[in-house]
Amino acid sequence: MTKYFNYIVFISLLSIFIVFNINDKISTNIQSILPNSENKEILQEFVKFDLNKKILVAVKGTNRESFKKLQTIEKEFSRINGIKIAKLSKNKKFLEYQKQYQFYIDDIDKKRLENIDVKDALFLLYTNILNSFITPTIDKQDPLSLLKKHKVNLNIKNGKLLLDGYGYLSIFTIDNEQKSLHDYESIYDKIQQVESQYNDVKSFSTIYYFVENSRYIKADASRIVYVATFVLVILYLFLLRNLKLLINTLLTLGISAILSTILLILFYDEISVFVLVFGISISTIAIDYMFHHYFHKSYEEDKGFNKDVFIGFFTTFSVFFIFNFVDFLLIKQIAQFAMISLLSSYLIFAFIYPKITFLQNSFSIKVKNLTFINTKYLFVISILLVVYSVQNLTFNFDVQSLDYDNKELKVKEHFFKERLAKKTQEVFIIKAKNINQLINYNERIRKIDIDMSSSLNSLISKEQFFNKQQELDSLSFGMLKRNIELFSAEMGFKQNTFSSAYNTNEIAPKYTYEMLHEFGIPIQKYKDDYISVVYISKNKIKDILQFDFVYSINMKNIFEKSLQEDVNKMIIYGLFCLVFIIAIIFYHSRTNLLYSLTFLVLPSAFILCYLSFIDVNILHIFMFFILLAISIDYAVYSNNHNIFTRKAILFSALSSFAGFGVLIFSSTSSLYSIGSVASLGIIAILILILFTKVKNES
Amino acid sequence: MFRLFFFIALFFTFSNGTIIYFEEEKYIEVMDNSIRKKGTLEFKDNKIILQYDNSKRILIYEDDSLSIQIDDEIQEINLESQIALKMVFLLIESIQKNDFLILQEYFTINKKNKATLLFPNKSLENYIESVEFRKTEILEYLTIIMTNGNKTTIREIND
Repeated sequence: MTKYFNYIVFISLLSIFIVFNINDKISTNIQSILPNSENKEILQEFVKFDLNKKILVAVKGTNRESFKKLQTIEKEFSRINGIKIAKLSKNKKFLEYQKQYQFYIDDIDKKRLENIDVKDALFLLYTNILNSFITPTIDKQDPLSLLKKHKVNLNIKNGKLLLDGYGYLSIFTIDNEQKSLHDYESIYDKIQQVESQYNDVKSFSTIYYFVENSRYIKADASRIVYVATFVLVILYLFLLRNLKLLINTLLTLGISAILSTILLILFYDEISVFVLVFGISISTIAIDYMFHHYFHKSYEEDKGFNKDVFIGFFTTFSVFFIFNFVDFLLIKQIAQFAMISLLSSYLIFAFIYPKITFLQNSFSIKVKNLTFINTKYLFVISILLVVYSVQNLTFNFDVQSLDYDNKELKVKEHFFKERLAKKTQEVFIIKAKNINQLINYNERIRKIDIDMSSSLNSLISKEQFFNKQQELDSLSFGMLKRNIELFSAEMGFKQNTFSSAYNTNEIAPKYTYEMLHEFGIPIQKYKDDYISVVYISKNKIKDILQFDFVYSINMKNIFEKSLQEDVNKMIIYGLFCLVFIIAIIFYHSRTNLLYSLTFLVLPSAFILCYLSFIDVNILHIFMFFILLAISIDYAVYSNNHNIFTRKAILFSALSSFAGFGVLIFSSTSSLYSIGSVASLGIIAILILILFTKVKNES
Repeated sequence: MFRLFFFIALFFTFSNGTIIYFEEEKYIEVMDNSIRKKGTLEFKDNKIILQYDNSKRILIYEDDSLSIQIDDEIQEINLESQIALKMVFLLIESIQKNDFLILQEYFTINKKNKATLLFPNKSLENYIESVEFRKTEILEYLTIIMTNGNKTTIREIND
């Protein structure tokens, strides 16, 4: 029965994974790895706003053919389930409201009011009506045009929006029911299918980032897992030539990865695909434990408890345990994944495999000792390099630098933003306890940035209403109204035509959440508060961000500070790990202290030297300390100097490279960061294994 | 030489454009009164040029924009704030060319007997109530009823 342990457990766990649809809880969204905070929650709320659910479609040219092409595309797009065309119509209820409160929303031209000759003004209106081709629309509440109207200049031709310097533009809205990545993928695929049939058609939506990045990251992760598995298979089949061991090891690694995923899902709503890839890579460290047992014939003879392997496992496990206290969600989850994975693998390799039994096949790899580097010199040079490099490190605290850099889509986004004149403004969230406060906050921003745009600009708070009422009461509308009545009748206007002119006796508007939704104003409930969006001029952002009710949705701005704090914490935890590692070295390798310490300083020198040339991110730092923990395993094993150990170490290093090193083939920044640090560290370890000699080695 | 140049210029002027004479009758709600005017509509090089009899004002509609010329002075009009005016020119252009592709963007088009009825889509329903026209050899009538009660009818007439 024990012989089939791996098969039984693997199938059981895989069944749980499939039955409970765990795969759906693996997220490719960068947000899933970010530290939990109010900012992150607000960012998640922001995504729900309709403005993030638009699809822009542009057709080159403004001639008849282009117009016809756009109409055909619109018809085809309208057949796609989950999206509908956004018409250029104005919201009727919002228009009625604006009409009712126009004297409170718009400003009165006081200069014109003071100097106006009602008779002349009405005569001008009268002749305009008579001479115009089509009777112009007259605002009966403001026949003398005393209100300064805010004009919204839309670039329109033939009822279609125009994209500056390109052609026609059409906007589609994604239904609110379309929320999942699966929904977005379905919409994206259908759009691409239509788009590919036409030339000179471009489309863009923020959901494209979700779909394209997710697909890219998934493909990238799969590619890495395949390459790593392929390298491991080669290693086993051609060098070890032990198929049974290969199958069992792959099953054990599978068990540890699935178990870690299932347990993490129990604690978190979702885990990032990055956690999974890093976790699986880190799991390959566990192969070391198998190699040591295997080469020491623990799987064919009763060799008892292997203390060296345990110390190696304990060191690595403890380092991950320390990093488990870091707030940065990605690192916390990787650390927890690694702890579960390493523990389960270690237990299986150390206690189940001896019962399954695996016989060593003879193979003719000779691990020659090519000693020609003096450890002392290596140690000193490494220390000097470490000291020099540390002084030249520069950090990058932009979380987006960890995500997949979708350059092609960024170019497309820039193309639309530039032509929609959005490049001078940036979107922000404002939060308030109630709607009235939200309007007041919007007004405070407008006082600083008069060019800001927001749907809230057309709303008036209670305070604004009463102030405006006082102002209107002080104006001499009474006389004006009498004169309008008198002269309009004289000129031939219909009786009582202007009876509603300059009537400003309104009651303060009462806004409700539902009412604002009906008006089409972007507003969301967030806990007990309300949030809305405002577009702020880029040159005013610094001033506006001083308000505590303004929230940036720029990931760099939001997470820069917390990431900086996390990096500092990480370094402290890392140094703590270092002390722990050194303590282990002192405990275990007192006789070969310098040799063991070189396993710390040479990989450090290699990695830090490389990092001094690039912008260092949090994952570089994390991986740096993890690699030291792994490296010290090799120091521990190397002290047990015999040919079996040397073989085991060499194979361990190669398998670790298969696990980690392949990450350098990734184009996703975060995966590449881990891969580069790991590869350099493993190269340093290999140099130490192959070219140095333990002091008292036989 | 001058005479030859003059005749060539005259030839091109008349060969490129079509001129129709029209009568406009509009009911003005704020005056509760109707007025009638006559004028010409000239279709030339994708332009529509409108001029009332005995008036110096010339309205030039081209490529979705309108300008008013009085003597040498030209004034650009923002048609986005004068939806009715924009629609009338679009209607005239579409009827003249017998091409209703762009009109479909704004109206639902129905045929009733020999007349064509147009009902505004959502973007126009706050301004225009309905449009009706009948065209045979000539534009027999084009009537636009606005939501504010104004009504305008244009008929092509013999000069």
